[in-house]
Formats: sequence, structure tokens, C-alpha cells
Amino acid sequence: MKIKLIIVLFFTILGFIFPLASWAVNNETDAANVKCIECHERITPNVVNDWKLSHHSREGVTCAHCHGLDHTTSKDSEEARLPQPATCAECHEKQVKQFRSGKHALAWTVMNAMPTTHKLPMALTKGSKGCGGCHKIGEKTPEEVAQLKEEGSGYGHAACDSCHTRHIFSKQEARQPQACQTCHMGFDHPQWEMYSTSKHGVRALLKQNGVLPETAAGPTCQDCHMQDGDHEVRTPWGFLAVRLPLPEDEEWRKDQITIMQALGVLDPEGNPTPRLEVVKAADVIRSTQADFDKEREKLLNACSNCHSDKFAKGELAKGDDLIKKADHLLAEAIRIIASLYQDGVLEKPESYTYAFPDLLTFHDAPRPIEHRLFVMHLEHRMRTFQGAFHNNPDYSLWYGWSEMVVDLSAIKDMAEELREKYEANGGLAKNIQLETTTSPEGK
Amino acid sequence: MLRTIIFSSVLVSFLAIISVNATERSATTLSYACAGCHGTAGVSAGTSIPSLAGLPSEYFIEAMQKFKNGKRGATIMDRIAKAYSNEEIVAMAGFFEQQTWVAASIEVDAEVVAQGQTIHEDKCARCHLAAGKYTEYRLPRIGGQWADYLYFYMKNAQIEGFKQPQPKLMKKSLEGLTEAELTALAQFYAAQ
Repeated sequence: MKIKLIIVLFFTILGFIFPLASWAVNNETDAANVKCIECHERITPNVVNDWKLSHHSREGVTCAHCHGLDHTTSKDSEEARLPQPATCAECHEKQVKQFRSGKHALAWTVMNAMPTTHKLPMALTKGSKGCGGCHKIGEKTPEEVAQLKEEGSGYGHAACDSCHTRHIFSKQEARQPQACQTCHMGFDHPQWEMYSTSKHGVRALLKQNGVLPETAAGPTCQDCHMQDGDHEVRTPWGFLAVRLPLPEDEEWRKDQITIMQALGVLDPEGNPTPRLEVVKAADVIRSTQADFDKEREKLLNACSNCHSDKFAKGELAKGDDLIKKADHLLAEAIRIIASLYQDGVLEKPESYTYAFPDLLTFHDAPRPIEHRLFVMHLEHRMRTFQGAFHNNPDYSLWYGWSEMVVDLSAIKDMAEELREKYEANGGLAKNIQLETTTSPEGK
Repeated sequence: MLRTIIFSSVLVSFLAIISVNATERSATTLSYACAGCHGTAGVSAGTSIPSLAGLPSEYFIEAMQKFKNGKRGATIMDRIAKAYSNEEIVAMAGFFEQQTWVAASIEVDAEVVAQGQTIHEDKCARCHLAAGKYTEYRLPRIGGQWADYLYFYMKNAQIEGFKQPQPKLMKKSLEGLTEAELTALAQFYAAQ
């Protein structure tokens, strides 16, 4: 009986020890047993298929090289590392260095610097359903990524895959103009619409579908903005077409000061504000003549593949001139609204720092007249000069300039009506509302 | 006469069976031919011949195809690989992938292994994760592989014009490494 008990005890203990020993061995060799493809071929087959088509797979770069070895089952998917440019830099150091010196790397910072960002639903910003969907191309700090996870937005924060989409990460794809299409379209930056219907874009697309020979001229976005594959993307005028030093032309100088005041980088007295430093840090504006000239020279170099220097300089100068003329329209509209604040016709909106229009509040502009100014600035002025530089006549004129003229006219009408009401209200700004039938969006 | 007919029939049937077996050899049968050098079930007895057990099939297939097509230099594998059809190579790849890895058993010098680890972390670790034990798709396991094999593989990679396809990054990483450094690296991996 005693012997039997000993035998039973021996096997019971063995029964505990063996699995433990086996677990220890398995744990030790976990790295060798990580089989990402085996599972993901069933769970997300196209991810694996894409990757198999990639240069990465041919070079032996596998899942774990970017996502780490910590995620091994469906229960620990949170442990999968989500790549940032630093991950890509482990192999593509040169390209990431170039990327970091250009505007794309700052896109996330710029988005977060906008006063309006924090008023929008998270899904639209950090959740990538709005601004964040494109501004995700900007680099994020590890702390920012951790914070995003905590806030419920754990995915989609890689940057390089904005152009080299996952998991094929194709160089060829990123060289096509369509790589830029998703983000450079729409309301305030319809470069795709302008470019693809310009003669530059039409020829490039005809080359793609084989109507024109492969060796025919037909510039892509990358041919001008990413020459020789340089991942530093910057333009002479920056996103908003304001720059330093201010123009020598007296009238244009005054107009640019007014626009900078409305952008909140200069105060109503013309002194620099803290926002100027934020804007400079985010590389939104070129802040020296040399900086502007360097970017302009780069573009002229691209033009010179097909055009004479004289022709190219002449065309770009027309774009500059259009900015000057558009600025005059916009500055007049800004001054009209500023005078409403100064004369007490309209109360300074609570969210504004100064009694001066704030263009960076975007759609949070409080009243129809300020909304109209925002649209005039971010939709129509942008189209006027972007259309000129992207060689699209219709965009510059009908969708840009003409709309600005209509905007200015509407703002004048609205201002007049507000002044009349103000007078009728016995000089009280409170509760004055427009009855005008003009749509604030100018549509 | 009857005897002759019966004998001929038996002979023809026997040859037919042999012939069928010759064209439809199982993966296991095919692997027997490899066992002489690469060990039973792909576990090599060393020291300059690699273990194949657990090798991802993609790596195996690519290596065999390259041997076969003269795109990878070899002592003898370039001639052996020519004897196998594409289907047979795929079957063998599946067989070896299913086998259990057994790490090389060699005596190593701890100091040399430590030197190897430093070089590994500096030049190789970004691809050969987990001290070379991680393997997937076209990335072979090198942690626990035989040291002499690894040494000769890396040495060949340094020879200009030697046909040994490999990632650009690996070629760059191996550039300028001395024989002593290659030995240290090989020992470090073999010790895993």
C-alpha cells in the first residue's frame, strides 16, 4: 500500500514538473517559435500577401523587424510595436534624415499647434478620421504614441506608410503622383485636382496609361517637389503663402502684415507674438530670403528640364504677383472685420486673443462674417496662388480669384448691415445678428 | 514458355513499381539523400555543414533554386541541386521545415563568444533578432547553427564576385571584418 502511494505521488509530482520544464524550454526558444506568417495568413491574408510582394520580404526583412517579438498570440496584440520613422531609419537612414528636414515630418506638430484642433472630436484629429488622417505623416515622440494609445487611438500612427503604403512599402508606388492624392486634395489644398487637370498632370497620367511613351516629358509631383528622390519636401512660399522678410512693395507689405496679424503671428500693433515662434518652429513659413531663394532655385531646376530659365522665372513671377493681388483683397476683408471690433459694432469673440480676426480658428469662427473670411482665406486664396503655381488656369481664376472677389463683396455687405443694426440698436453690439441671405460659406 | 511469360510479367511489374517510386518519391524518402551530409531529419553532425531542421521553406526553396541555376556558389550543392525537380525541392522544403531544430554542440571560448556578441549587436542584430534564433520566411536561423558553416558563409560573402546572393545590408555589414572577427561571430551564434 505504501509503495503504491509513493508511486502515485512520484507520478503526480512528475506531472507538475514536466509541463513546467516544458514551458521553460519553450519560453527560452520563443524567438525561434514566433510564426507571424502562419497566423496572419489566415487572419489578415492581404497583409501577408502584400508583404510577400515587397522588397522587404526579398531582403529578409520580416514582421518582427518592425513589430518586435513581443506579440505572439491574439491575446497580446497590444504588444506589437507600431513603427515610427525611427524604425524605418534603422535601414533607411538617409531617407528618414531628409524627411525629418522637410515639412512632412512636422505635420503632426502643426496639426496640434492649431487652436481649432483641440475643439474637434478626437476621431477627427488623433483618430485620423479628419485632419489626423493626413497629418499622421508627421513624426511623433514615443510619449505621444503612448498617449494616443491611452486615448483609444492605438493604430495608424506610422508616418512613412502615408506614401509607401503598408505592407508592400513600394518605392514605385510612392513615386507616382497618386501617392500624394489622398492628402493633397479638397478644401484648402486641392493640389491633386489642380495638377491632374493641368497639362503637367494630364501628360503624366497619359504616360501611366500608355498613351504617351514612358520617356515622354510629363512631370509628377515628385519630379518637382522631391527631386532625385530627396525626401525633404518644402516649398518657397510654404503652406500659407506668407513669409519673411516682408515684401519691398509698400502696399503688399502692409497687406502681408494685416494677414500675419490675422494669423495671430503679429499682434494688432505689429509686434511678434508667441504664435510666430510656434509657426517658425513648425516650418510653416520661410523666415529668411535665403531660405526662400533656396527653395525657388530647386523648383527652377525642375522647370529647366523642359523650359528656359526666362520662361520658368516668368511663370513663377506671375504666381508671386497673384499672391500680391489676392493678399490685397484678403487684407481689405480682414480690415473691414477688424474695424467692426474696433468700432464696437461686433464684440471680440471670447476665444480670440486680440480684437482682431483670427484665421487659425478655422470653422470655429463665431459668426457668419468671420466664417466667410475664413473661407476666403483658406479655400479661395489658397486656390488662387496654388492654381497659378500648379499651372491650372481654371483653379486660379474661377475657383480662386473670382470667389475671393465675391467673398469680399459679401463681407462688405454683411459689415454694412451689421453697422446699420448697430446704429439702430442705439450703439449696442450685443445681440446684433445678420438677416442677410448670403450664405456664410459663399456657396 | 509459360515460365518466361510469368518471369517477364513479374519483372515488368517490379520495374514499373521502381519507376513509379522513382518519379514520386516522398518528401521523407527525398530527405534520405540529404541525410548523409545534413544529418538525419536535417540535424547536421557538423561542423561545416548546416542543419536544415526547421528552416523556413521559402529560404530552402530559394537556396536550392539558386544552386540549381548556378546563381549560388557551392562546394557540391550546385551539382546535387540539379538532380531535383521543382516539385521535389518544394516537397523537401516542407519536410525540413517540419523538423525540430537541434542546436549545434561545440566547445566555445567564452571570451571569443563575448567578442562575437559585440559585433553581432553592432552589425547584425537589427536583422538576426534574438541572437540569431529568430527565423521566418527568407531569414534563416543562425543562432545554434554550426560555427564552421557560418564562418565559411560569411567569408565567402566577402569574396568579390563569389555568387552568394544576400541582402545588401548584410554585404555591407560584413565588409572589413577580419578572420578573427568572423570567427568570433560564428562562435557567438553557434553558442546559442
